[in-house]
Amino acid sequence: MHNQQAIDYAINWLKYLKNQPKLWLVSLLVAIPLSSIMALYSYKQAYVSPSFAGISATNGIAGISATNGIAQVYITGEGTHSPLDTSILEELKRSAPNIYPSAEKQLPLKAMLSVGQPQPIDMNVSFFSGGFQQLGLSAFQGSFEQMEFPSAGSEVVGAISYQFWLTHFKKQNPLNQAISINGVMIKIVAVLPPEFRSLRKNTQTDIVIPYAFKQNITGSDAFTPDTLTYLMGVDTTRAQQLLDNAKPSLIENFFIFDDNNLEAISAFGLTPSDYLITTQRVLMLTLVFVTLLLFCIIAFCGYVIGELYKKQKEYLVRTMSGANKRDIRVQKLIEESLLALFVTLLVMVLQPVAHFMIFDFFNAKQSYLPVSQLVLFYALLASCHFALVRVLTLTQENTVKTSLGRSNSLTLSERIQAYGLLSFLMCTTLTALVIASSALNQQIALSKVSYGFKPENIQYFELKIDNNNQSTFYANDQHRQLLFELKKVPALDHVALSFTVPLLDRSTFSQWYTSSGKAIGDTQQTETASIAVTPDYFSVMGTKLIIGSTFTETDHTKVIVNQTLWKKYFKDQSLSDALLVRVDTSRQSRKYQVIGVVEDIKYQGPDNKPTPVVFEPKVTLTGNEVIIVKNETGLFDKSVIQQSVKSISQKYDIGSTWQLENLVYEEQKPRWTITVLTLIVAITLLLASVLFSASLVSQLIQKLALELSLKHSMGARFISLFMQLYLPFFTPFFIFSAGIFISLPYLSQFAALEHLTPVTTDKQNTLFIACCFSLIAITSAIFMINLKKNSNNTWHTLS
Amino acid sequence: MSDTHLLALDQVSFSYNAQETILKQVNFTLDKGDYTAVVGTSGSGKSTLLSILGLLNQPTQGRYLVMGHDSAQLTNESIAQLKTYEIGFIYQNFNLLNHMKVMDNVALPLTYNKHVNHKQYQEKVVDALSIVGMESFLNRYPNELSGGQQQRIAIARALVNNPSVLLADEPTGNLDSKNSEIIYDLFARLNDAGKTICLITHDQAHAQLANTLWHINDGVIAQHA
Repeated sequence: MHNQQAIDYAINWLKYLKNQPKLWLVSLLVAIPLSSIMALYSYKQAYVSPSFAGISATNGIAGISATNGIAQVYITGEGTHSPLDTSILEELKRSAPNIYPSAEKQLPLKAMLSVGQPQPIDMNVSFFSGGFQQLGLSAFQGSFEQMEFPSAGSEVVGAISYQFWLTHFKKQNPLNQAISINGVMIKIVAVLPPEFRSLRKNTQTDIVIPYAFKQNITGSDAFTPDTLTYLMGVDTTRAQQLLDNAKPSLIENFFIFDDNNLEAISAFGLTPSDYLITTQRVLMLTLVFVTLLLFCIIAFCGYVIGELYKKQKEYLVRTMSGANKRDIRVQKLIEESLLALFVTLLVMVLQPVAHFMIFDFFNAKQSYLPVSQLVLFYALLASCHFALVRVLTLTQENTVKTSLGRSNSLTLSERIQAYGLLSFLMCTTLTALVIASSALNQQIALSKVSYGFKPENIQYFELKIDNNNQSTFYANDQHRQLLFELKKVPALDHVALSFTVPLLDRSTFSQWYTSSGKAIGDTQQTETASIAVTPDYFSVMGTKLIIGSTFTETDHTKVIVNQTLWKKYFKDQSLSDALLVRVDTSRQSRKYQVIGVVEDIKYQGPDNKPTPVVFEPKVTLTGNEVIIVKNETGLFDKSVIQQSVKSISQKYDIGSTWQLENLVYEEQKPRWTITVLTLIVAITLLLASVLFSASLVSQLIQKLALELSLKHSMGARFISLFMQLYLPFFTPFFIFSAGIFISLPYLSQFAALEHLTPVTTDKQNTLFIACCFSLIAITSAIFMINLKKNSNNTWHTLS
Repeated sequence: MSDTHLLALDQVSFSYNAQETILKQVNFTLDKGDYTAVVGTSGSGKSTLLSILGLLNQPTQGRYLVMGHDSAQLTNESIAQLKTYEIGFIYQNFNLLNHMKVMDNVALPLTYNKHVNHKQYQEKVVDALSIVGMESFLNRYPNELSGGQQQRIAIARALVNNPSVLLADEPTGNLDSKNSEIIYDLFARLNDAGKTICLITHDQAHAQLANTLWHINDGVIAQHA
């Protein structure tokens, strides 16, 4: 074998490739789902790993070998997720001394950098109970030592981000300088490394302060549902084992309910709900693309097998022209390698496009896999592809010896090949259709779930109050004045005040208990969402009052609760018996009468199960309010509202604005994208499978033409010929379909957010049977049409 | 036209499309025990005539009476039954299935015969093969046989259901003269034994062996005096 010969083979193959649009098409079909799956993998890696924070978790702390070395732990009950209490974390630490429990909460706060500064600045503050070393963080300047082990009563310390240092300290030494937040002086002891961005996804942390000092700054150190708790030094599996082992003792000593579960996930910097929804979405899309890939591989195999028939003739001619066995083998290997490389190259070209689309679809920052992983993936892909083509060639060589044509019939191996391909193809289509219809069904059901408010024509205006760095701003009675002024604006039909904006992460929390002392929340110490609103809030939002009445401005000891809280804690009770107790930061308790129950407002969107919420009447302006306005048109003049606000005090101003409809649209975007994407894939698959099976059946019947014509001429009934043709396809298809039918409940668990909008078994079975019968009808029609054509040409075939 | 004929074409025309008519108002009869040959050049319409006689095509005009029944009125089931029990086909290129043994090739028509069960196959096949002198080739594959032997197997297959009529389309077109003689001898013996035979050929010499001779030219048929 000369090199020139090898080059000739390669050039010949490239010339062949140039004139093979079908090969381009089938290769492209394989490359599209492969690149999409890769992009999804890349997204998942970026999403659940701490890489977005610019930190790397250290492996193998105290001899424990972990994948990431970090697991987020939480308690769940009836779809809600809460962090673990400090006491539970300490208990876990006692049972496994080599783990490092940690908690993190982020708050937007205002800070003063130096005395005399005219305006406070907004800061994203991360309260973090330590674990810098475990996260692989080392200070750019200073040290984290004082932050890791803050002692009680010691001065409040913090570490500023590199970006904050550049912006506000202009690279001057910031160490030992102070920042004032809520009137508390925080000494800077370290600058975080330049690559560090945040301990929360999609945010930029400005300062990290030990969690122990949260009490000093915000007046409470209790965990809220948006606090994240971690076990460092263990991976998710080990963390789950620890939680499972500790559960009996936690039930006994820490008021954990039997029906609550302790879970560990690999998410870092995002809430369990976010993580679960995203992983479900990723899984759903992965399933859709995997079935598409499977289908495309089958189509690819079908094409390659067809081409190998032709190639066999070429090899025969070459052999007759003097090529020896070795020459032929080398030619085959070169061609197979080139084909594998071609598909790999297509994936490499498409991958950035798929990557961009997937990350854009999830509204995520672009993040790439390490080059080493990419190289490994492409090498693996090329090898697998080469192996696939090699197996096909070997199978073809060993099973098919004759070329086919008129006046011959299919050999057994050729029949197995043709029917095998067809059955696989249809089974894949069925699987894809079942997954797609289940996913679509779920997405459509989710899109129909009520938000608990009517977003039309509602706009939010952030009220900014320059409180001149007072620890907390309380403007008694000014909220009434504000409402009064705003109601005078002609274009505003309805006005209300609140703190929370639906679908944005803005919440306030308090510790609430029932009159019998039962905590409202999954653990005894977790705080519950507690929102102060003006009485018009529910009518402006369009939220239905289910039981009782709304409060007035002077009902300071009355509250309204949402349906979830009512069902969980007061079911079957009368309103007059429903009492709640709030424990404030100074451990003082105060009783509140529940006077009404409103429908659940999905503050986190329909994917999240609503959590208990207490609505209390607004008694002061704290400086963090939002003004909610509504009119017929939904168009509001910001300057008019600004004027109205400033008429009360020049310290008042309008900050950000949000249109509720836009927020809803943004929230629904991924859901609709999944729906459209799934629909496109399903329709494409269905059309492609119909076309491909039509072509395959036509080829099959052409090759069986003689046999069928002979039987027809001998008096064979159409139906018996049809059954003879159809049964070899139908039997494996039926067996596989039965398999899918049995595994349907498991499949749907993967494909859908079943806990939110469960699809009934009946509906699922109906969907499956509908898909199954559609495919049987389609394939039967294809067989019948082709058989009819053959029957019409019987004499032509025989004579 | 009398209904007593076994097969009868009455003013039958046939065309695949409007532009070209293959058969033009053909009148043709075949009676029980006949040995008829239809002679014509290539493209004259003789094969099409056979396809209509064999119920594989329906006339586009005129009437075709099969054993007294108008073919246009027959149901698919009746057509299938006639093809199974009354008509046997013999082709120029034998049309044997190479992946099946001789036994299975000959047994193929029995599959559609409701009066024969699977246990009787062997006996029926051996009987048919013994008529053509090929009973010792039961377990051979067609491609192991000569052309003459293959055509005899094809004749055995046509005979296995003991049909009333044998329709042969150029049965010796692919054979040498020696093998052709064997086949025509066989036809003569079968006719003597009472089989009705309709033979399509372009070979005048062999056509002369038949009792009745028809000529077909450009879709028009006429009986030779």
